[in-house]
Amino acid sequence: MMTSTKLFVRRLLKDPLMLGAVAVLGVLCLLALVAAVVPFAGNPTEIKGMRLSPPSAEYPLGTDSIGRSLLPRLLEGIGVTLVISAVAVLITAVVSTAVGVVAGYAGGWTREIILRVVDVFYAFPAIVLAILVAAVAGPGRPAAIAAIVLVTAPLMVRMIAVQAANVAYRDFVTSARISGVRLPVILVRHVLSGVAGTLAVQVTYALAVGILVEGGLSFLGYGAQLPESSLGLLVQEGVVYMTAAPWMLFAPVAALVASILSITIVGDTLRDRLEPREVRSLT
Amino acid sequence: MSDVLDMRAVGIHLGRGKGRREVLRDVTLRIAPGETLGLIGSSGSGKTTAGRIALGLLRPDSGTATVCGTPYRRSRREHAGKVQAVLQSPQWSFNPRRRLGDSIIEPLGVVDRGLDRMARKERCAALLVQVGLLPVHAERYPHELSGGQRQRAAIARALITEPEFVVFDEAVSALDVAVQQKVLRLIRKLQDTHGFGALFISHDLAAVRVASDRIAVMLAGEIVEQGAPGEVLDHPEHAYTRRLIETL
Repeated sequence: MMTSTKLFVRRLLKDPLMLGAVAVLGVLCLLALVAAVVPFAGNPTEIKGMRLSPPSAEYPLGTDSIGRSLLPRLLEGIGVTLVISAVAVLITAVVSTAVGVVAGYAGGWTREIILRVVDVFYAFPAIVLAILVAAVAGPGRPAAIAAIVLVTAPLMVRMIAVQAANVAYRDFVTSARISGVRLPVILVRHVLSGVAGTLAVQVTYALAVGILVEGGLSFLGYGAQLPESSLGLLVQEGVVYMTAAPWMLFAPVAALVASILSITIVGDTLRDRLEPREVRSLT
Repeated sequence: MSDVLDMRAVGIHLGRGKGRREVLRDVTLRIAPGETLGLIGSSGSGKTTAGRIALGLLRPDSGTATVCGTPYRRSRREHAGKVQAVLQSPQWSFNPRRRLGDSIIEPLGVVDRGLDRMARKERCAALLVQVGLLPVHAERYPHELSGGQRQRAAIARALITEPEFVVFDEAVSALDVAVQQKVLRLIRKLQDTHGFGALFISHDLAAVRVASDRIAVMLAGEIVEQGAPGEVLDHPEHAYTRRLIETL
């Protein structure tokens, strides 16, 4: 008999939209990774040619305002943006899972206090909160990571707390309590496995939001700092020369849209596949 | 040998603020080893709350609840393995992401640390056979079994630690009549073999009659009548019991 995990993976592989999204993401990650290890497209900081040269055989995406080839800068930018977002979302996932599981399982006042604190952060518009954090912490990668964590954690804590509360009242958790199974074991073995689907979906959405926030912060000068590039930084440079050299804007925007869109599609597909399974009765 | 359940004058309030209300009042229940007490009453009468107190999941505001000769303390480990339960929902009686066998042997991890994994699996296989399933079912996931099979597996999990006291909370209510009768006969047979005392909570009078040695009737958080099934169900003394029998 096929296990539910194998069945789940098989169904995902039959979804062309999901496959396309995974392929786009895979290509972006692979290009960024390879470029970081072997600079096949050239050195992103080296001034090589004329300022604002249009795309050509020598410079496939053209050059920037001081004559650096845009292709290596874009690949570096994709890598920097993805790494900042991924590290931030990893921190968000760990913190939100711990806090959300405790809030959901404990219930009562513990849950109320945690969720009201979360509401305070949730009430801030994301970009305002991100700018506030970056302004306090100072521009750079740590500020961008902290800002993404603060922007993405409230929703993730809330979603995980709701799901953990659902799982906490299920008979298999009560049976484990009656059997004398220790609380940490119950939380890890039963509650955590019960929120895994919600966590997977929320992580993908948080990743998309993370890329957007990193882009926004770098665009405003609070994120990645020159000479390093990131997608937000490249978009900001592209906007300055939008009329004279539109290719400077086109490539980073396309990469930003492609990565956010594909991550969102992966998240939507995971949600459709994982969350109805929790309430199914006839499937 | 002491009673497996000795609840004396138990009272409890539940809810907060204006919603706080008295759910149990002066409830006294005793169950001897090997005996089954059926607890009946309409929805909201306090049956499940009484069961939760008997399992140590709730603490009474007044009165005492002693299980297997010991009152519940903050840590449940003193009663680990002695008290088990078969609960209402066949759909959620097992963690959907774990194989049945792993869930069934879980209580052994608390009480019998001397047993290695192979010995636990062997005990699990033997119990699965006793409840009318196959050893191979241990490798299956819950969604691969029917509701009746899952409830049988839940009984196997409850009995794996050889408990002295088992609470069946609406354990057969979600099953169809034919499967219900099979599971009830199984419970009686296992009780003869294992000798555990049981609290059988149900709103199904036919099921309670088959499963119980004595019956207690609950109305608005109080026990209004207790006795042998023949006395209570065929010659009810309390007006509420008569009404309950007519309604159900």
